[in-house]
Amino acid sequence: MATILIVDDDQSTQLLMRRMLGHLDVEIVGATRCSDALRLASELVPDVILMDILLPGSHENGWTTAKTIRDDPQLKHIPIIIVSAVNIIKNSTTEHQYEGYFQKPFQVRDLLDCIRALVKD
Amino acid sequence: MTKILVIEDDAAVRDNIMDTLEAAGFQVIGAANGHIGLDSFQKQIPDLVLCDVLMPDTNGYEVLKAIRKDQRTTTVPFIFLTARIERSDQRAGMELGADDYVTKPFTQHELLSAIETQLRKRNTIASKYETALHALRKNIVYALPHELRTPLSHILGHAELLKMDAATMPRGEIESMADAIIKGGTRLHRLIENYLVYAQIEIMSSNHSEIEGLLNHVIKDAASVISDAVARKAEEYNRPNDVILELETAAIRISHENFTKIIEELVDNAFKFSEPGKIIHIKSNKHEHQYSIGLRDYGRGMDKEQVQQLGPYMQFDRAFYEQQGLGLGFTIAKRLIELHGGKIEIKSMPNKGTLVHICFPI
Repeated sequence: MATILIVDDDQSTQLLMRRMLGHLDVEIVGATRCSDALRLASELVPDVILMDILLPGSHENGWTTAKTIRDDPQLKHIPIIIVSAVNIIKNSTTEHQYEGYFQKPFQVRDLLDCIRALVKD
Repeated sequence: MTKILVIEDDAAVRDNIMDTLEAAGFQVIGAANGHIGLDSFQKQIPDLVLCDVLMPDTNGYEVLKAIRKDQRTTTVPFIFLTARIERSDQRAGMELGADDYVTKPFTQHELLSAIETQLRKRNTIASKYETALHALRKNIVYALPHELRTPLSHILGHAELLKMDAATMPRGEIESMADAIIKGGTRLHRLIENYLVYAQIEIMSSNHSEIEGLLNHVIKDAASVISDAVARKAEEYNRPNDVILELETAAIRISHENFTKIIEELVDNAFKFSEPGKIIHIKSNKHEHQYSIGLRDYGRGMDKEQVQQLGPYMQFDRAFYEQQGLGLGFTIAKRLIELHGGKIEIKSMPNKGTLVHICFPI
């Protein structure tokens, strides 16, 4: 069974995503801090990571956490989907780096389709 | 290079000043009368103006009045050069918005130090505004959208799930999704209302008659308003047993609505930042000239730096980055208290809790 890691500090968002992922046959793990996200990513090597941008902690956020995972030879293959309420500014360096970009509020169906396609691969 | 406009009808004096300023490294524009001075001002917008008071046709006061009328140039430092030393004349110039007077005859040193003082003052003000503006810009561009979109995503997401699965969903699950929609809507509603209240307070705080109007209201029994507001919040957080009230009552000059808002916001923070089971102690005392209220929680507290950051702009950042809404509610309470002639003080220790002390004149 595929494992999905949800990184989001907002409990209500975690709940929404868990309910949404109920449509897929997957195991769900949640993290609310960057440090937990990194630990769970290396322990479980999930099949997809849903990454929020604005996370507690002044030096780290979703971008730096995603980059840390991308730079880790053991983890760099994990698809990362950025899901955030801040304006997502895609530029040439980030555009093709991650497998999906969703701005909140997102369409549940679109995000599910994106995850489904990545889990199948 | 700093540009200084010198308006002086006496050619010898003007040349002398211009030489001094050029030697000190300023770019100098000379004008032989008030009319030419205003014309050069409009075309070149200098960083500072030195202007003689007594000139034929357009005198110094008229020049100053014209400059201060223009929104873009109200803050350009303006120094009068004058032989007059009457205090009443100085007053008249200051009231029109002059920043300083240099009395003729003056030494080079006196002139240069008056200029330096004004330029330094202007730079300090400019950088203060710049910092505040930067924080506000960041708030509007970055934090506000985040705070609005997050609860909206809960509403739309759950509604979409309901629509997708309504036919097969058990009743309990439908209800819990509806609850999530209500929760998201309530969070969004509260945020929007607080924004509107905050905007209204900011507009009101620049209007004297509106501030006076605030004090036309009186609540006769402050204690009962406090205990009602606290009871509502305790119910909202499901912590009725965590509250200890020790209230004396008094009549204070504030509307029921504003007093309730202040208490609700402060109590809300106390609940939000302390765990269920931890006591929240609210005490009020009537003194001879004031009514004081202390709210103590034993929650996570703040360090000195965090307490200092509870300024009008920083707290927005804190509020949004930590997604807890401390800032806006606290700012509203603080501004309302101050507009009613009251005071608010915070003492806090990390992991020990926070004591908020407020007082109103009676």
